Formats: sequence, structure tokens, C-alpha cells
Amino acid sequence: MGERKVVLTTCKSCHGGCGVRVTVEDGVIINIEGNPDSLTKGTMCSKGLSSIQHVDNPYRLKYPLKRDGAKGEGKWKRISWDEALDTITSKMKEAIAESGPFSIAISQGTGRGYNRYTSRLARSIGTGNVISPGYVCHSPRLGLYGQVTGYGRLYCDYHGWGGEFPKTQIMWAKQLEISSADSEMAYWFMHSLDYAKNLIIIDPRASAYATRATLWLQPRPGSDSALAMGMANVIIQEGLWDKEFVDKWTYGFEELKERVKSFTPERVAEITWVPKEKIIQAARLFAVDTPGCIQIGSSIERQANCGYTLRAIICLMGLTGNIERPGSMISWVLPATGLIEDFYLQIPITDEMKKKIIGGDTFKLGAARTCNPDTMIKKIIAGEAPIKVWISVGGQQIVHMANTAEVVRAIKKVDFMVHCDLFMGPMAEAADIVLPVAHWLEMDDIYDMHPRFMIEAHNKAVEPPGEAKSDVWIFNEIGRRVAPKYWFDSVEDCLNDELKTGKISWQQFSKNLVSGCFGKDQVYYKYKTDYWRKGGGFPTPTGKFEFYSKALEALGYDPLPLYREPGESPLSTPELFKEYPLVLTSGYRQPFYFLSQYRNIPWLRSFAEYPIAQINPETAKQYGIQDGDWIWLESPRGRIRQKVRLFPGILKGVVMATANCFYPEEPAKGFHGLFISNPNVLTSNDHLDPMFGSPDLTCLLCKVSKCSKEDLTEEVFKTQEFGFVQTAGDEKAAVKSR
Amino acid sequence: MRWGMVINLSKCVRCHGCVAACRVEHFLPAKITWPRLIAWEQATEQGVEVTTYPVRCNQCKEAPCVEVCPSGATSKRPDGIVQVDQNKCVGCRYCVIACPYQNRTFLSKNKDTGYFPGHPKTAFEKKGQKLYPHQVGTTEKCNFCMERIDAGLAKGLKPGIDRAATPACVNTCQARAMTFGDMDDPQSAVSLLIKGKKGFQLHTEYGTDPSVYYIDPGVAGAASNQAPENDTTGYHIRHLSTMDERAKQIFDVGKIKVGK
Amino acid sequence: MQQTRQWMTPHEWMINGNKQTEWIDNRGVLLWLAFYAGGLGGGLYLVSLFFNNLIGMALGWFIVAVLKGGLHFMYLGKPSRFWRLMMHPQTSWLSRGLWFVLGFAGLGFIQILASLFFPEQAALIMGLKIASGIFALCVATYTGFVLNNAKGVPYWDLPILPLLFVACGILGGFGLTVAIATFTPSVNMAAAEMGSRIMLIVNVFLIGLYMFLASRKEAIGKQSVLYQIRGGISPLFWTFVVILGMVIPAIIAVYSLFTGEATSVVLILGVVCEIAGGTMLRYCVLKSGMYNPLILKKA
Repeated sequence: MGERKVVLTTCKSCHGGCGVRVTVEDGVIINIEGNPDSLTKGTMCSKGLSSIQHVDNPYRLKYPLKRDGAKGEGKWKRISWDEALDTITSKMKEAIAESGPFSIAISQGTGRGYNRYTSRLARSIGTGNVISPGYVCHSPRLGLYGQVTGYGRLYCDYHGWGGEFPKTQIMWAKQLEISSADSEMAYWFMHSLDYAKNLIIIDPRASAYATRATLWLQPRPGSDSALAMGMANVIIQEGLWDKEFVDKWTYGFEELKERVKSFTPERVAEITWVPKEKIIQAARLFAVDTPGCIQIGSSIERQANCGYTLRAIICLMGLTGNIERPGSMISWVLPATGLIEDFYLQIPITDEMKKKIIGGDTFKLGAARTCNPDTMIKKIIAGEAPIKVWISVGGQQIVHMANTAEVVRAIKKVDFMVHCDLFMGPMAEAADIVLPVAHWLEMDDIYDMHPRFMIEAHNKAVEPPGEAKSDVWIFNEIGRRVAPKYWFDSVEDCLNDELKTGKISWQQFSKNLVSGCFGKDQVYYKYKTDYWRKGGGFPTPTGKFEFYSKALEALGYDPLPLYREPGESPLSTPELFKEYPLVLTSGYRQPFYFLSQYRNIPWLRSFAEYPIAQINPETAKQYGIQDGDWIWLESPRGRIRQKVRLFPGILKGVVMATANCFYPEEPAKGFHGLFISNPNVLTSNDHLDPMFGSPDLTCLLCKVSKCSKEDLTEEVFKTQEFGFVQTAGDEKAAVKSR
Repeated sequence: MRWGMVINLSKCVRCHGCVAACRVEHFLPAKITWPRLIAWEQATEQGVEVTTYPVRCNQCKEAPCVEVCPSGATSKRPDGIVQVDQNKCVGCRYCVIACPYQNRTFLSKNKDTGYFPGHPKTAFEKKGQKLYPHQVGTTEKCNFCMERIDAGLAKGLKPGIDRAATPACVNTCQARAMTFGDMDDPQSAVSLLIKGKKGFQLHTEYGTDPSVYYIDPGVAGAASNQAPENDTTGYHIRHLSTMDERAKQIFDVGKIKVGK
Repeated sequence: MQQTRQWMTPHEWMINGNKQTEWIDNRGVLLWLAFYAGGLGGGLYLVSLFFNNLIGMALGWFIVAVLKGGLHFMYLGKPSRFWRLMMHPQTSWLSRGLWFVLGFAGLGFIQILASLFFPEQAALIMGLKIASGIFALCVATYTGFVLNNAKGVPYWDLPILPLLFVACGILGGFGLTVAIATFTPSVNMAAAEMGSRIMLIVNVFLIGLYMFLASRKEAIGKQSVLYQIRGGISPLFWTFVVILGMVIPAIIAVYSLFTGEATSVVLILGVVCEIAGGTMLRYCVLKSGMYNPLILKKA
């Protein structure tokens, strides 16, 4: 037996943050399991456990690469780190000198511990054009919590630290049990269910919990704002609102009452396809059985009415007094180390930077600190946004943004692009230089939870392959060369700086593993104390929880919630609906994939080989589709193929497609099979939310048809522009396995 | 003593964590899976049912595989675990055929392709060849992590309660859908669940008497939402020494009443 | 970046009845042939005892000891440990089978040697014949009991299965005896043909009865039968088992019955068809073995 050591660290396989215990023998990981001495009690899901196949993966990027052919051709040449960094920085300096810092865009994947690096780099060179997927995930929620309560981060209290667990829980377009999204860990939620009286699921698709919940509402995708306003109306009409809270701590109740009056259960039932009895019952349960909380899913934020929908849902929280109560929605007290985000907030965003943020003048909430990606794509194509250099880390903008064909066209027009990743993927194929990044098991870094009541340490368990480096190292090295004033001599200095509020060094924090504010240290009912405002109150313009938002009014938005149909829906575009008679939503996620990741991890791929579209058996029958068939999904933008699963748990007339999928094993030429199954080939970037600029990713119209055998043969696929999906041999194997 | 498992179908969310944990724990060859999940979706008169059945070797009391094994490689231990001695297995696959639950897999050469076919075996796999060898040409299945149980018992730990003596899948389950323990002890957690929550076995008509039970008590419906004193979520965490100081800085904690 | 895609899809696993694969696909072919060889060899030996046909006995011995034993040996995952198969005859039919094969191989070998070199020891030879005859019957039968033991496969869980297998073996035995009779006058051709005809009728009846019983057994039993007669292997079933195994031999039998003598070419053609039919019957039975779904639909 070789030399063994145990490393305690933190998982980053999803937004997560689960405690991890890794056993390493002779520099090789021989075991990975949950850390029992953590907030997740030693539990882990398949994504984190399969990290072993990341570390050992032969397809990992090991050295900096330079493109050696056309974009998307897949020809690369190995270069040294010095050459890579020098090229990048000289290109950046060139762009700054020629067109100003705003010609540099920095993009990232979903915020998993590097937000502060991308934003700091952007601000340190003087650009605000950060491209983040936040506008379709989590940021709208935070922005509106900020407008309504004055404090930007409300989370469900799943911990019982105030003595009570939520009595009524609403899961709105969310399966927290499989996602640990926004770092609200699945484990906490599932644990809190043991103490919940009512569980209300609002989801177009059945899940294990939905079919067993106290109440399951199955709305038409895109109709959530009507549903929320209908529930608010029931609560008000039946006099079930929390009188004490509403009288004393809220502003604009009468206006809200007036606004939601027309949303009678009958009307809402017609709009949302949810039976009116269920709407009434959901409202009553949530208002009467308090404390309660609403977990909002990002599917709502992938709709062009996301701002007003969220406003309506937040009003429900206020009406029922489910704010800052134990077991309700709460803004957590920060840990001793403060907000790690201070790391970039230290560099204030200047008016000049704000003015040049793309989309900032239109989407005043969404594009205040980061740009609106869809606007940017359109502007690049029109030649109006002179983006010369695009530095991308982690995320696959090319996969997750609406209207893939346009995104590809725009990205091909960017002069110089850098992508940092673990593997070759669609985004990397479009880049000029690709930098190899270390996996979370191979790096020292700090992990900041979205709920912000704790931060955790990533401790390096094994060495990265080849010359791969951690995100913080890469950003520090680039930063040091272009804006030395704001960057550090070493990674450790950088980490020490991030921790300085807590008066703790990286070395010590790494051993402590966690800095948090837990249990009895957390404080509830902050609005009743001097916490935000002397004499009590919320940090809003009126000092109250604002049903009627003066701040939004000042920005030119409707101060109250508003019901609007999606850009394309049976009600808003009846003509289009005749040609595309099904509602398509791309809300389907498999628990073992995270967004576009992990289809190259054999252990995880083994659980579901191909993206699956769920259709109600009766709808399928109409189109002659059988379980396991490949089908075409078609919208005015294009068409994709997915494998169909007949699923009684979905409404007739609705198709649920798997989101964010490409095929890592497919050739570089078609951007790794990007156009085969990705629903964003179908989505439109024409309808954007007025506040946040979020496109309709989860509610549009489509038509379906069965793929013919010819549609799946190698020859047909090869002659098409974008790769092929299935070889003849595979087809045989698939038949065999059935 | 008879080790058994109770699986709560209301809680399983299909995350596949148990499958991955097992692959890690036993260095399973590329295409071998001991536990599996079966997706069960149907429309009934009561509504839609979506359930995931985690299945693994049932460790039957009357195990057909033990009965049909011609070589004596498959045997039942006194604690109820059915185990396969890979050094004795001939590879006749009779047990694979005879197990009505299909929980046995024959490790053929084409199932041992390596995690990344066309590439050398990974460092993890190579370590596994020494630490938990698998023999091509023999049959394998879940063994309730008997190595963990044995090692744990030797240290005086209690399987099902102490982590080090409990199967890896049970430990890793985020939903806490699995409970492990001694079914012969009427006061054990498994016995109480089987009795209290109407535990059932799969295909009792085969007369196999599996040691894996299922319950489906539903979600929510809790009588009280009060956090019990002994609920330890979050209390076993290392605090920073500066924490109290920080809290004091923000406001005077003593003045705030928690709760109504 | 080409990665393998042949992964199982656990989501779809065991919701419907799925077919057993281990004993028919890939190397499972060896086991199928071994099982049929056991039936054929045992049946031929028994028929040869009846006709006192030493060539037939030797051929039967060869089919069982060498072909059946060899094929089964090659099928094992760890052939070097084959002797371990003998360890559990108290519960395992596979273990018992190996003992039957060994017993038959040993006794049959001695009997054939004794018949060749000590034909005067009539009592001893008779004793040996009875003993090895019993073993031959066991060899021809036990594979049916082996399949009977798979509780999860309704198609195999029928008591008629061992009877079908032994009848099928004896039919093959009569067929081979007819073939031998075309070369040597020492065997009574007419009697062999008559036996062949009777066994053909018995076989047709048993196959029909077996499939009838199976289709009424459980939903999955019916599915197995449908798979065999209408599903993926139906061309094999109808071509080999029905046309080659039943119709053509029946035509030849009727023809020879009415015309007196058929040419030896026609007779041997009939025998080949019969054996092909028997082999494919075994294939169909193994291939159509489907497990009961693990989860049953609730009403």
C-alpha cells in the first residue's frame, strides 16, 4: 500500500457546495465521498462522485492551444503559457488602445466561484461588458428582491435555525431535490420536508414529489404571472393575508389589490390551464399554514415576462408575511469573512463603464453590471458592437443562449477569442486560444455560496494534468499583465486578499474549511430591529416591503405586477399557433447532468445517453409517435432531433425538451453536434424581458414529427452542415437493447 | 442477525448518487452496475404516478442464486448477506439466469473495456486492480458493502448507524431514502419502518424473502414544523474564531427575540 | 473524441419483460449448442440401445462426452475451474448435469468397450447398458430442469419442458438411427422409421401443448410465445422448427409410408431437417425466455 492522505474539500460539480472527503494514494484519488462533518452530512450525488472521471479523463485539455485552421475546424497547436498569456494581453492592450476597454468582453458560465474574477478583471481594465448567464438564472430574482425588500438575497429557510421549519413549501418551476441550484442544497430541502405539512408543486411536468405532494399545479409554460396574481387575488378576496405584517411593514397594498382584482380563479384557470379549485386551494394553504416559503426556479427567469412574474410571486410572500420569519423567506446574515464579492465590488463601476454596457439603456435592471448577451449578439451581427476580444471562462454561451444559429454567426465575427475550459467544447472550437483549467479537485480556491451565509474552501487533492491551471491563477496572470495595480504576485496573495475582512489567512481558512453564520448565530425578523434601518424597516425608499415599487416606477417600469403572455404562445400568437400547435418548454434537466456539462463523463452518460423530449401519450398518438422514437422538434428558427419518451405526467399539447445539450463525442466541425438536439436552435431572441432582457427559453411554440430512418443515417447527417447523431451500428445496438 | 435495507420510494429523486457511490466504492469495471434505478411512470385512475425503484441484490433469505450455483462460489453468510467468491466462480452464469430480480451481472471481457475505450485504463482503475480486484469471467453483484460492515463491526461500530460500517449507497443518498440495519432486531430502524410504514418486498410469489424492503409513505403531511432540539443540521460546523465578534459588530444579538 | 455509446439505459430497464441474453447471445451460442447436443446424444444412445446399434451408441457417446462437454467447457467464464461445477449436486441442476454427463461418459465408454471386446459378458453388458441408459436419459432431460429453475422466466417455468426436451432428443436419436440404417443393414430401417414417425407426432403435440400452456402462464409467458411466432425470431421458428423440423419430415414420412421405400438421399435430407428443427427449437426456447417485469402495473 502506498502513502495515503485524506483531503477535505468542497464540491463544485453543480452550484452545490457539498462537503467532500477525498482519499488519495500516491497522488491518485482512490475514493471520494461526502464529508460527514459538513452541512450536507456526508451525502453526495452522482455528479460530484463522478469527478474521478474528470480527473482521470483522457480528453482533458492539458496545455494551452492555439488555433491552427479555420474556426470550428478543430485544428490546434500546443503553445507555452508564456506565449498564450503574451498573445492574450497584447491583443487586449491593442484593443484598448484602438477602441477603448469596452471592446473587450468577458464571459463566464453559471456563477460557480469565479464571478468575482471575471468581474474584477473586467473592471480592472475598465469595461462593464461582462457576459453572464445570470439574466436567465437567479439574477432577476435577486434584482427584484432588491427592489421590493431592499435587500437582494432572499432564500428559503430550510434549516430550522429559528426553531421552525417551513410548514408550507411551494416549489415553483423548480426541482430543488435534483439540482442544488443556487447553492440551496437539495439535502437541506429534502431534510426540511420531514417537517413540512404542505408541499405545493407548480410544475408542468410530474416528478416523484409532484405526484405525492399535497397539491400539484400543472400550468401552461409561460403563464406563471397570471397564476401568481390569481393566487394573490384569492388571498385578498378571502381576507387571508397577514394583516399585521401588511399593515405595519408594507407599502401599496391597495394598489396591488386593485391590480389583481381582475384575476379571478375562473379567468386564471382559463389562462393557465390549471383547474380553479387547485388555484384557490394553493392560495389558501400558503396563506393559512404559515410559515411558508416559495422556491423559485430559473425556468421562470427564462421567460420574457420574468420580471413581472417574479414581482407577483414576491408579492405573495409579502401578503402572507413570509418574510424574515423562521421557516419562511430570509436574508441570511453574512459570515465573518463578509461578502467574497467585495473582491470585485472594491473596484467601483464608473458611469463611463455603465454607459457603455451593451443593453444597459434598455434593460435597466438586468444590464446594470453585466451586459445583455442577446443584445450583444444582435449588435455584433449588425456590426454595432465593436467587440474585438472576448475572454470566456467555463460557460458555453453558444449552447445556452437563444437562437443558436445567430449566436454562432456572431461569435465567428469576433476578432479574437480566448476560452478557458476543462474539455474541448462548442465554445472552445470557436476560440483562437484555449487555456486548460484545473478541476475543483485540483485547485485551491474559495467557494462562495449564493445564499451567502457561508463560504467554503476548495483544497487541492491532486495535481492537475499537464499544465492546467486554476481559474484564479489564469485570471490573476492575465490581470497582472494588463492591470497590475489590481492584481497580485501569487494566487495565495489573491486568496488572502479575498479573506481579509474575516482577518484570516488562506492557509488557516483552508484548514477550517468553512466560514459561516449558522444556527443560533442567524437572526430573524431583521426588519423589526435596527439592522437595516434605525427604528426598524426595510432598506427600501419607503422603508417598507413594497408591493408598489417606487424604485421600479422611477426606472420607468410598472410599479406593480403585470401579466403578459410569452412572445409566442397560443394566446399571443394564435396565427403562429395554427402552424406550430404545441407549446414547447426546454425545462427538462436530468439530475446527473449540469446544464451543458458532463455528457463526456462515462459514468454519467450511462444514465441517459440521448436528450429526451417528454410528450403526453395522447399527443404522441396524434402524431404517430411511439416511445423511444427520434422526433423532429421544429420552430420558425430551425429544427432539432430528440429521443421521445411518452410521459403521462405532462399536459396534452406540451412538449418538454431536454435543455442545453451538445455531443462532446461529435466532431469539431458542427461544434460538437451543437445543432442536433439543442432546443436553443428553436428559441427566439426577439422577445426580451423589459427589465432583465431574458428571452423566452422555456415557453415557445413548436411542431413535432417522427424522424424517418433516413434522418438518422450517417450519410444524411454527414451531408448536412452540422455533423451526425447516430451511426448505423448504433441504431442496431439501440434496437437490440430494447 | 440479518442485514436488511428499507428504501423509501417517496424520497428517491432519481439522482443516481447510489449508483455512482457504488462505482467509486468498488472500483466497478466500465459496464458493471451493482445497484440500478428503474423509472416507473404510469397514469392510474388516481392520477399520474412517477416513482423510481432503486434495485440492488435483494440478499434473499431463500436465494435462488445460492441454490443453483454449481460451484459453491455463491453462498449465504450467517448475517444474511449473499456473497460471491470470485476465486471459486466458474462463470457458468446459471445464477444470472436464475435470479428473478436480474441483479447479477457476468463480467465478460467486453464489459471490462476501461472507462475510456481506446485509451489506457485510468489511474483510478489501475489502483482498483490492486485494492478491489474484479475477475473477468466471473459473476458479480451487490454485497451490501460487506467489507465495510465487517471492518466496522471489528471496530465495534454499528452498521446502519455508524457511517464507516454502513453501505456506501446509504451514506451518500441525499434524500436519505435508504435505511440499513438488522432486520432480526425488532427495535432497529429497518424493522420499525417495515412495520410502521407498510414495507413490502418485490415479487413475494417467488418465495425468495428478500432483505430489501420498499416503503412509499408520501411526502409532507408532517404533524409539526417545530425543529427538534436534537436536530443537528448545521451544528457540527467549525466556526471561525472571529464569528462572535462579527455578529456583535453588526448588531447587539441579545436584544433580538427569535421567534414570535 | 469518439467515445463509446453502447451503454445500458437503466431508465427503460425491467419495466417491460426483457429477454434473457446471457444464455443465448454472444458466447451463449455455445451453451445453446451444448444443451441441444446433450439431448441429441442422450436420445441417440437410448434409441441405439433399443436397436442394439453399437455405432449409434458410440456416436451418442461422442456427441455427449465430446461435443456437449466441450462446448459447455468452452462456454465457461473460467474454464480452468470447470471441476468446481461438480461441487453442489445437492441443489444445483447444473452440477447434477455434470455428474450425469460424467457418469454417462464413464459407463457408456466401458459399455462400448465391453460390447466390442467382451461381447460374451452378456450380463455385465446388460447391467452397463441399463446404468448408462439411465444416465443418458438424465443427460437428455436435465437441461429442461435447469431452465425450470429460473423462477423469473415464466416461459421456462413449465413442468412439460424436460419432457419436451427429452422427446426432442429421442426424435433426433431416431433420425440419426435412420441415417445410420441407410449405411448398415444391422439396424431395422422400418422400425427406425416407424419410431421416427411416432416421435414426430409426439413432438408436434408436445410443442403445441408447451406453447399453449406457456401462453396461458402469465402475461410475459404469452409475450414470449408471441415473440416466437410473430416477433423477431418468428422467421427462424417458422422456417426451421415448423417447416424443416415438422412439415418436411412429415411429408417424407407420409411419402415413405405409402411408397414403401424412400431413397437414402431423401431419408438423410429428412434427418438433417429434423436435427436442424430440433436445434432451432432449443434456440427459440432460450431466445424467447423473458423475465417478468420487476414492477407490475398497479390497477
